[in-house]
Amino acid sequence: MLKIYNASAGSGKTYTLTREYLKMLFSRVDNVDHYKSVLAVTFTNKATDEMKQRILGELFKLSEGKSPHIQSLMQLPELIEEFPDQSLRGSFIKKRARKLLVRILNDYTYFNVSTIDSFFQQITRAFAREIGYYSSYTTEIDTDAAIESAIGTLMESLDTEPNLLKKVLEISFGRIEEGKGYDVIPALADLSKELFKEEFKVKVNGREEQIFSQDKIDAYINDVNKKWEEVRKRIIDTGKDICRQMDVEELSPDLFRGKSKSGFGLFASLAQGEPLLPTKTMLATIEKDASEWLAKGVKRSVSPVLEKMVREAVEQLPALNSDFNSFMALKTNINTLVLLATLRKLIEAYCKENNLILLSDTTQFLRNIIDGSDTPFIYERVGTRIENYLLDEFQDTSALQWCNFKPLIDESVGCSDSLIVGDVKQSIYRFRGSDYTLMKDELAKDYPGADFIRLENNYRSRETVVNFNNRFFSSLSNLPDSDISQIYTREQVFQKLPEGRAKGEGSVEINFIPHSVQKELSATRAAAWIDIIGESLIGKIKEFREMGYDMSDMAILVRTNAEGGLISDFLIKNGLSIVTDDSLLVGSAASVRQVVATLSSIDNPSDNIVRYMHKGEYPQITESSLYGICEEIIESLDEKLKEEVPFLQAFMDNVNSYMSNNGSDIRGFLEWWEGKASNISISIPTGKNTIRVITVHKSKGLEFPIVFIPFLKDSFRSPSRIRWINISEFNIKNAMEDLEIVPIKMNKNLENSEFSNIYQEEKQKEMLDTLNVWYVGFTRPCDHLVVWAFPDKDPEGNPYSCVANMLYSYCKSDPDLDFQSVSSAGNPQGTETVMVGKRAKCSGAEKAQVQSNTITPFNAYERIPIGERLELAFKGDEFYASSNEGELKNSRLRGVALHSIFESIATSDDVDYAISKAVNDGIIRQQDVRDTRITVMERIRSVEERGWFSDQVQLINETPILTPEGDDYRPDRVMIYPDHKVVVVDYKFGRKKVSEYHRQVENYVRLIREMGYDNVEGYIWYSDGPVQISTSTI
Amino acid sequence: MQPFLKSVAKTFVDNLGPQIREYCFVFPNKRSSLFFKKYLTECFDTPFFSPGLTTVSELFGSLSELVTYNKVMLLHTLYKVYMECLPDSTETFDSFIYWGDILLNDFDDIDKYLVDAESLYRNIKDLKELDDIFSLGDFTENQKRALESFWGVVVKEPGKMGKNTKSFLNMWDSLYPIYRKFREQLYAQGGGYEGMIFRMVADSIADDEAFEAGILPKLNRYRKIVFVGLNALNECEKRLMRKLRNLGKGDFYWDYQTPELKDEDNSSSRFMKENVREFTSFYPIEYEVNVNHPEINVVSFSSSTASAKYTGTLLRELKSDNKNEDLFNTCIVLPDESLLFPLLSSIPEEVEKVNVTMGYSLSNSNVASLFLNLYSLRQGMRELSSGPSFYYRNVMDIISHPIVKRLHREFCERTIKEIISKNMVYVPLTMLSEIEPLFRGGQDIAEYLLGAIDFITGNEASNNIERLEREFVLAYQKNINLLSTILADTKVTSSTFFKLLSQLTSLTSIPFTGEPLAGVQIMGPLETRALDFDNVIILSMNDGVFPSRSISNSIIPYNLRKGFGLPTYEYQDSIGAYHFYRSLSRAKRVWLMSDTSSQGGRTSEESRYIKQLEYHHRFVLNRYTVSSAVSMIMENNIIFHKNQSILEKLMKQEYSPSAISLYRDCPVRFYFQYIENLREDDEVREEIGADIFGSLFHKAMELIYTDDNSAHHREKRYIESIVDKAFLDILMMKSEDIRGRNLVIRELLKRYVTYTLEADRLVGGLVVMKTEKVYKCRFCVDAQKELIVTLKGIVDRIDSTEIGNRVVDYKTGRVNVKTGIEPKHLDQLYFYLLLLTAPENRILPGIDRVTLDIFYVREGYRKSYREAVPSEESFNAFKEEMKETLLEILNPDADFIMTDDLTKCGYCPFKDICNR
Repeated sequence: MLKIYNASAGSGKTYTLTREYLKMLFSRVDNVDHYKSVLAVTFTNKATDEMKQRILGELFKLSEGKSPHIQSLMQLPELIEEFPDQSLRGSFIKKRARKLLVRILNDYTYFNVSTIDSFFQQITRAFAREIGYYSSYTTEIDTDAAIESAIGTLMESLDTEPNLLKKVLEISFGRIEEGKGYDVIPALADLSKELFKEEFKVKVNGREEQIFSQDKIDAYINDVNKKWEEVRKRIIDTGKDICRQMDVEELSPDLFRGKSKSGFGLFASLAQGEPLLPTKTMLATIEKDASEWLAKGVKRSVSPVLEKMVREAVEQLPALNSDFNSFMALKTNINTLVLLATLRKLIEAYCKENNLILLSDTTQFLRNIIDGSDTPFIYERVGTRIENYLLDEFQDTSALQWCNFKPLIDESVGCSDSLIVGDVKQSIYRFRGSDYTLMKDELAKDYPGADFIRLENNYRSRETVVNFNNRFFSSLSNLPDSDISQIYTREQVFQKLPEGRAKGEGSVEINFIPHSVQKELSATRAAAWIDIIGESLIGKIKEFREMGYDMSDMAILVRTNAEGGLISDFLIKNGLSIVTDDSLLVGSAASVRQVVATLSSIDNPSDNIVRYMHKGEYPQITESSLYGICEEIIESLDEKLKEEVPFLQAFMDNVNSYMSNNGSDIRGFLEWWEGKASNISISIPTGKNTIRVITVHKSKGLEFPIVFIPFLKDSFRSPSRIRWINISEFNIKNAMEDLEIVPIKMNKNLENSEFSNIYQEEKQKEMLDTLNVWYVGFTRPCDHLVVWAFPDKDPEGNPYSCVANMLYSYCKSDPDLDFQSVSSAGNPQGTETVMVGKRAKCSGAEKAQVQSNTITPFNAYERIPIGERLELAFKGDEFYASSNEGELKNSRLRGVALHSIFESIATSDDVDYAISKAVNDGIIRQQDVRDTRITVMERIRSVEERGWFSDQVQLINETPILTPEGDDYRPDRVMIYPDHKVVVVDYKFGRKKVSEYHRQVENYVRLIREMGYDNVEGYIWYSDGPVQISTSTI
Repeated sequence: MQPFLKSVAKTFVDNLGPQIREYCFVFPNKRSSLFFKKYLTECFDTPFFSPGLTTVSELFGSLSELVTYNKVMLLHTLYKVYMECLPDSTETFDSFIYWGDILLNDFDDIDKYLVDAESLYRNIKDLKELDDIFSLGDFTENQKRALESFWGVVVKEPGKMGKNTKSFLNMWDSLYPIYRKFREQLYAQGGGYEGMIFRMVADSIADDEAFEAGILPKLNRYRKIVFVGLNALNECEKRLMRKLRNLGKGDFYWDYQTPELKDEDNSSSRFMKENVREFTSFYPIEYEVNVNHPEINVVSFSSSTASAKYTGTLLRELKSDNKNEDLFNTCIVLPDESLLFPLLSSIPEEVEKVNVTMGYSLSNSNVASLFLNLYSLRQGMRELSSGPSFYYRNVMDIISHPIVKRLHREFCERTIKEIISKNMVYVPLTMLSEIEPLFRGGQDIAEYLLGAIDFITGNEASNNIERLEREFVLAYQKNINLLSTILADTKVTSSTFFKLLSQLTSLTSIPFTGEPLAGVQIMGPLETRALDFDNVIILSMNDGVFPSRSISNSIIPYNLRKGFGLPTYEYQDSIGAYHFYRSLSRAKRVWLMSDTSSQGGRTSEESRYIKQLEYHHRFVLNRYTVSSAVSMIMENNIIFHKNQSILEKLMKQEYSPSAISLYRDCPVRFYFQYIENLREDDEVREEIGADIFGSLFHKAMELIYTDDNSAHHREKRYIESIVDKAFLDILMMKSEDIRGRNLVIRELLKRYVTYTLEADRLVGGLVVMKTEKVYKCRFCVDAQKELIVTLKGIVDRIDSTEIGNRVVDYKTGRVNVKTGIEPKHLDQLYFYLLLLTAPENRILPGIDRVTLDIFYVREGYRKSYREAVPSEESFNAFKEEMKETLLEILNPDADFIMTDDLTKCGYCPFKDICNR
């Protein structure tokens, strides 16, 4: 049975998921291991963690008899059948919960809660293993590095590939003609990004070479250019003809009705090749009789010839304009297509070279492998069979992902329970490929027999907030657009309060900032809105604190990271501490910038800007590793800069992870950082006294007692992304059949073109995206919502141009809402405010969870060099000591090499073993073996008469001498003769004679005597032979 | 609390005294034997000969005649065998490595678990035949294409199989022969991998005769062999231990004391029952162990660096709690080794003694980066007209490398300057004579690198090499030796050689000496085996790090592994859990630190062990979150006052249009550039950015109009030669050195030059009078105060035409206005007009019959100038504005302040100083 939950914001989705998950586990009375066959898929890693935590927590509570889910479990038919007795059933649940909890915790690898990406990864990897191929590959999320490298390689190959050079030049010249920059790299990079997008993947599906072959594109470009030129010429001719005629009749545009705004300048523009359309004024003029065309008082007339020409032109213009725009769109991005197949190959080569696979390729790969088959055999390779699926956030699934998942669901639908949860209104990741129509339309089509359930209650928000959102968002159903009005219907939007909730609690306040104020300030600085509302925001925060809320109860929702950055700066400046997930960029901190600048001048310390920053000094670098160098630079910073602790720490996190993957290559790191710096932000854990700044996107799934939305405008943008179209589906004259698929970059001109449908479709989707974002934003608060909205000049006259206007129009239209023009504290003059509900701490308001204790141990970034407390085990000294005294033939066979060979020689039988061990350790090379052997044998022979390497002596090399003081002495060679004489030898091959060595051996002799051996001799073996140490003085 | 090892040590010393020398103790690793030794010495009061102290793998090694080969050696031998068995394969050694590593791993397991390899591999083959995707005839085109492009495998119809496919199919057949031949081959060479050595020993044990002759005499060196603190045992180990037990020569001590380790539901207890039952202890020992749970602190961070730094803070507290201790009772466990560096720079000074069991990874050293640079240098060498030459970036990397620089400081600094000042994209070998061995080298890459090492270490100045670096160089040299030995009879490309070398390098680490048995102990989870500490601090308590994600590196399917008794992931999980719970057995205080930041795809999930402690074992956990106040330095509010010397400088300054506009953009920037003379450092330009593009264009136009051969202007070849000359003049780049992206730039320049010439041709009676000339004049800012300054400017071009004169400027940047000239540019032209009409110059008599023209190169395709006619009125207005600006510059009371307009800061080289 498939259940499909429609879960609006705050409707207890996680609760439901957890309950359903538990029911799946408990319904298998005879199988405690059933958790291995349940897969829960979430959208983010974080959600995965939380889901796991939630399930474990509930199991723990169940085992203690405390979980609210006990009721649903008690009613499971399978359990009732097995344990008709209620108390037996209850105790079974308790015991089973404990058992499941312990089992899962100790078999955690099979606790299948994962993101959709990592689930696919797991499968791809299993598949790689099957064919025994490169299974150690890494998965890379970021495509930029691959693209950059591919373009770099392409550029480098230009000197040997004249054909490529020709293509690149064509693109470059093409761009110049279009008035763009001469550099082709940005254009190539843009286009390459398309390679990874779903639409392209679906449509092209690995056939780049076929589809975008040179010949086809050449023919196509010719064709399009020709057609475009034709249209352009017709437009120019039309313009020129009419201009000429106007000249003949001595008529200039300002002599027509409307004078300077008559619109008759149109023809001059046309003559220049600018494809404009007639203005409204002009159209109105032409409606009239030709005798009325001229402005009042102009004593001239329009000839019938001119009249006819103008009327004909105006009639034809829309079509001409449309053709012009269509062909323009077709030709704009086409040049770069030629290189697409080449780039694709280069990117593949880059991936192979680096043994990595791009995440975005995995989904596509799986799809091709499944290739529409019913029983996707590849899933069987994973090992365990999954029977129950739970898919969360289904509205954010992409079409390709669903393609890969659907066969699994199909298979399970017949026999087991599965579950899909989502909410179209919260679909905000279309830019990442998610496809809300899956949730909206496809599911119902594919699974008509499924159980569709709508969660009706809102457990999160107070009555006032729920009511406001119910009414505002359901008003969107009046929009002309079909998708939006279908999604925001009354029955989809309206939520109920759960029983027992207090009535009338919570509040919503919306401040509409007058347009006059906005204009005045925004002219000078982009950040002007903070100047407008900042004071008021601070006032509100204070107000809520006085009501008894903590700072951590409040969140400020922003639309973009840039806005978040501005707000964060502002709050910090005002002495508030904040928490933010992504607004504070590591790369923008002064300290980090200075470290990076210093690092980048490291091969040229004469850089006088960096020197200036370091107060005229260039920091001394003594460390060898990249990490060490960066810490040294940090140490040299101004004390004040070192206080930017979280930034420096996050920066060093990155330095360290770079180093452990790539080594200490400074230039490599700088290049990498340049690409990354703009994306990496610090994250700081929440504390009781911190207020949270977060983007609406990141806030999805979260809730806060109080939510501030300080900047609501959000004009609906015109779409600008690239769409890949099947050209045969369009009625372009004499369709250019050579190319199946062409990129069309959305722009406003397309409103009048062959592609107006896709343009409109895109535009509506953009609008839906924006509205969904604010649906998410407005539904975050539990108790109170405060908004500062920035509508346009005439919001009611133009309600659909931005969200602020829509909100304003709604508020005006709702008779229950009162506008107060009293500008509350800090708001500028003329602010109109809507305020509903009660401004007080809500009755049941309590902390969602117990916060752990927060400690803040760092005041400044501190570096404590380990210095001489820790040294490396040095052998290099001996190895590279000048070997003049060594008579060795091969200069690379130095003292230490001999030393370590002798360490493994007990008797002369061991020589070959010792030498091959030395080769295996890289101490000598195979080609040095012969010489080495001769040298070693010579040495051994030289002490033959002493009997050192004979079987006569008992060697106790492996047993060091220990003393009660805990010291540990390890002479190189200790031999016990049959007559109990003990000989101790230290090797000092390739060393100068130093008396210190003598003392060392004297000590060995002393220790061995203390152990009860009377006859002990000590030697040091230099390269020219052993020297006996006189020990009479001991 | 008495540590486990101490209990064992004490028992044996009490019972044996100095005769302990006749015993051999076997530990899971070196570290535990070291600690055991320390405990032994604490039990004695005279010097004594140590008993045998060894590890399991050393013990096996000593019972065998074979040398344990290192991995590269093994892989290379395996590769040769593989190619023999699959002669059709086109695999290179380079690409075989990944694959070979998996095989090697499986062989090792097979041997250690005494599995019948033949029957195992037959089973795999049968399994493959059942469901082998390659034998399924119904592979669709799409599936094939997907496989091909994704994995680079060529898939064809059965019967018409490509080479690769065939070898894939053959491979399953060949696995057993490969296994067999590989072992034979190794045996013949006198070496082996660990599993093989284990198995040879185990085989000898099973064979009485072999045992008596080969193994027993070696075992008889000791009276007894005592196994201490082991946990998971493989079949070879068990066989040896059983044999010793049966001979009465074996004794066994296990550490499974706390309730968690005994809890059968806890996966850490997996091996306990069998071990304790089969291998009993001779001496009954009462181990001390925690009666109550230790204090457990779970600390979460949002940065791994922060967790390392916080560990330092903890150490400081622990140290001040027990002043006389050297914190030998404290252990820091690093499941993620990369945290070693952050940790090592966080240990407070008062902690005087530190010991680290992990080494310093060679690949993190600057020596590795030097050799990487040397390799790139070699790859980037080109035979140019000037002889062998090197790409400047590679040369700079080497001569600015600390090691090289310390050896030849003077030479390096001089050469860096020379390369920059001459803008040499390729540096000829002749310029590098003093450090030639680093550049020249032999054909053979190994010889080349060894030569470089000789140069670095053998040089007289080599005493300047830090000891640390010398150590790295030594390790590096060993790797080169090893690799050239292994590859002696195999042809590999330099790039393969270097790739292999890098692999070896990444596996190499240099041990720290430190104080092995004193001070804070820093180690990985594996090294904690059998050790006990009062304070245990574990970092990176994140699932996937600790326990680590067990990615099985095997081609043997799970079910077969299970069936044949080979270790599976559950086995790995149990071992990890054992390490964790055992390390808690005798601890008093424990800190578990996790990193909650999730960046770069890493998960931030708390380790399962913490959840187990909380839910399964119901420990009381003290949870803390460590955070930092987000103080962020806002932009610096920079103000400079004008003192006497600054004012003097300002009076002496020659003001160019760019100086004036710079001041108008931002006075502080003006200050940095003209008063402090701070400048972006020069660098070699090889990739052409906007500014160089402009210089090239200006140069080309100048060359054309100073050339008398105006008749050639239309010729393509002429323009080509001019553009090439511009490259040479501006970038010191000969035409054969123009490559890659610069080829595009060259073509573009040609086209732009052609456009400009075409535009010029449309001007009637054009005579170019002057090009790129510098003009100066005196300018009175304030007559009363006698403020007179010098203005200066380079005028691109002055033309005379049918209708008069024109002042021409080229602009290569973006055009922002649709018609006419941008105001800023117009100002610049007025500035020139001022210079040209000044009495000192009198190039133009006045502004009559003069036009101001700009060629916007970006819209060159329009082939036209944009033009303005100067009026007396605007000329005067311009002069007034100039005066105003200069008056402000010279005004002692007007400070240099920062601009309000942040858009001006975008490309400002000083923005890091202002922090904007």
